[in-house]
Amino acid sequence: MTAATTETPLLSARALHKTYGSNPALRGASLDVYAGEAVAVTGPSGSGKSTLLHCLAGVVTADTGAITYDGRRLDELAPDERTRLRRSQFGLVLQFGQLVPELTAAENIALPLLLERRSRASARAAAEEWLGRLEVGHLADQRPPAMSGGEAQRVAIARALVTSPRIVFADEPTGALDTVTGELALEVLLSATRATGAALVLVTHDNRVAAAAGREVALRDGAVETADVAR
Amino acid sequence: MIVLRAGGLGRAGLVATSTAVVSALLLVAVSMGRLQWDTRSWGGSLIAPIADPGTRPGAMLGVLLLVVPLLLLLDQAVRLGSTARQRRYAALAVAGATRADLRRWASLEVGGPAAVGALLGVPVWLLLRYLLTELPNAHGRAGLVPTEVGPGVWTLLVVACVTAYGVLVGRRAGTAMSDTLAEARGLRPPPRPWSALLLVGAVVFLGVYGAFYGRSDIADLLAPLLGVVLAVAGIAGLAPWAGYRAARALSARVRSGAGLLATGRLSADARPAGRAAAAVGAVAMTAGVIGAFVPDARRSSGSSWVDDYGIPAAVVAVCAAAVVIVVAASLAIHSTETLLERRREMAALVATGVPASEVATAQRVECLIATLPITVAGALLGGFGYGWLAGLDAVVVAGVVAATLVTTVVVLAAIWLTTRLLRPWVLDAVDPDQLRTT
Repeated sequence: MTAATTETPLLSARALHKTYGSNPALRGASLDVYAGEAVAVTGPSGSGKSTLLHCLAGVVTADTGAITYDGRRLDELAPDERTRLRRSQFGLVLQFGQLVPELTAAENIALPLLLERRSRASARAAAEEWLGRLEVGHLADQRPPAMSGGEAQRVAIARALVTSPRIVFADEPTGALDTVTGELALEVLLSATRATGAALVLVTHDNRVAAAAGREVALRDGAVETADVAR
Repeated sequence: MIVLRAGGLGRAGLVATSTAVVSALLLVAVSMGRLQWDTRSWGGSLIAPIADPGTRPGAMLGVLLLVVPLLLLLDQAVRLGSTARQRRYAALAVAGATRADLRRWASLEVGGPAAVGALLGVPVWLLLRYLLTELPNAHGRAGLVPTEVGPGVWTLLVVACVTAYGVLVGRRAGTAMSDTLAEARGLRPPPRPWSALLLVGAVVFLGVYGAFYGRSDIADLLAPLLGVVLAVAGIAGLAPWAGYRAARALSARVRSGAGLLATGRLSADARPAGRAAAAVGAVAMTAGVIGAFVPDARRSSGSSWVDDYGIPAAVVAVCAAAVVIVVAASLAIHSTETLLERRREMAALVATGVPASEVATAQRVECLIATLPITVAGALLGGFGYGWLAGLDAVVVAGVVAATLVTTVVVLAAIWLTTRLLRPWVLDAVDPDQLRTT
């Protein structure tokens, strides 16, 4: 899964700047993401990895710079359009899963589909199918507080993939898991995105996790230090 | 003082204010109970439902019902800022504080302001006495608070009870803080409908007592009161179960994200919302009784019904509406507070493409599911229960139906208004910017 530099990137970020208060988080970061590839964004704490991921995913907007997805500028979209885009085209996996604790696993996964006007039965069926594919089908009616960290992370991966996104963004997806569970979760994430053809943008400070991706981009002090290291 | 300051002076002020009003209302109820019971006394100085020994127990019950939402407000005041308090308690636990220490601090944090509020209840009672009786009497109108008889030594008991309640609420909050949120949310069994037994008990008790009616004046006064107390306790106790069942029934059918979030939250734990809904149910019951009482009073009192019963009934109706607004506000505040506790999860949800407005709508839907069934049931039960005792006819039935409709509309409006007012906090809490520190 290497970068195909001759093709048009699916997502392209140019000269992103983002400041929180007086603290600059991004200082001119640029990145291209190609369809179907897996790219790891690495760097020390405070280097701007998560901020870059959130900007790329349209979760927050950069102060300056441009992000283009499939020919459309993200910063020019209305907030509602960006929300719809995140729901239908992007998937997001966070460090602690961050599932809604009062909803069951199946309901957590079905929620974005219900918002896409899918019928309840169809949304439930899709949720169960994904739970089965990630080998946690028995958790369908369990609530997150009753799950282990690894189980909750698999459910979060299922939630990110159920809408068939073209890009999955993962922010330290193994950061809260022990080594064995983390490796399993990473394998699940990589194989699931590979199977659906989705691109994967993975933020991590773990070299072993970064090594599993096809390409690595290293950040330091909010700017890209080493880009496009193809494996 | 250090504990109080750490707990937040705003919260201490809210606790002291609510306990002061609770204490004052209890003193009013006690002074009503100390009026002479054998004759219609204090002619002219008090309104008919209080002066008349036949309706005085109902008036006392009405005053006691006004206490319920204030106790709920006290409960909510204790919950305010619980996320910050949880962090503080966690830090204290790390520093070596035991569970017993945390409970003791929490008891002091609430019990202290509650004791101050309970004592302040005495001047508040004097103020009520002046505003609601002495001032109207000076203008030739009847009043609401007895002036010739005061609560006397019962004042000490009222102050002690209100303080003890504050200490208990604080202690309970301290116990909850020392449990992890995950345990509390994940493992609580669903509420059960055992309170229905109180409702059945009320019906059986009143039915049996009917056979012995007329043998003792004091028993004839107290038995209906006891029946009403049982019925109110039954409907209030059923509220969490009703909310849970309504949420479970709807969760299988909802087609919207807001509906799924709302029913999910109530299915996971309906008790906090149910407690607030219980107060709404009790008020709805009072409204139903008024709906049946007004046509009944008109039928039996002729032209004097407006002065004797119509105006007092209108006063109670206005109080009931005010109480509903207070309770709806407490319910919405609780809902927002729990949302703030889970701001990271909800912000993550919005980051994955769930509109923030959907989360705000879910909050409103949750409040409606928790309150509407118990509102309708309470109003119908109160109205037809009174109608059954006083004699049902078409006018009484129309009064009950009208009271049920009006109460439902007031509850709907109160929830819409309070959730609307809290919307900015909700939208801020679910802003994906909350994920920045992840």
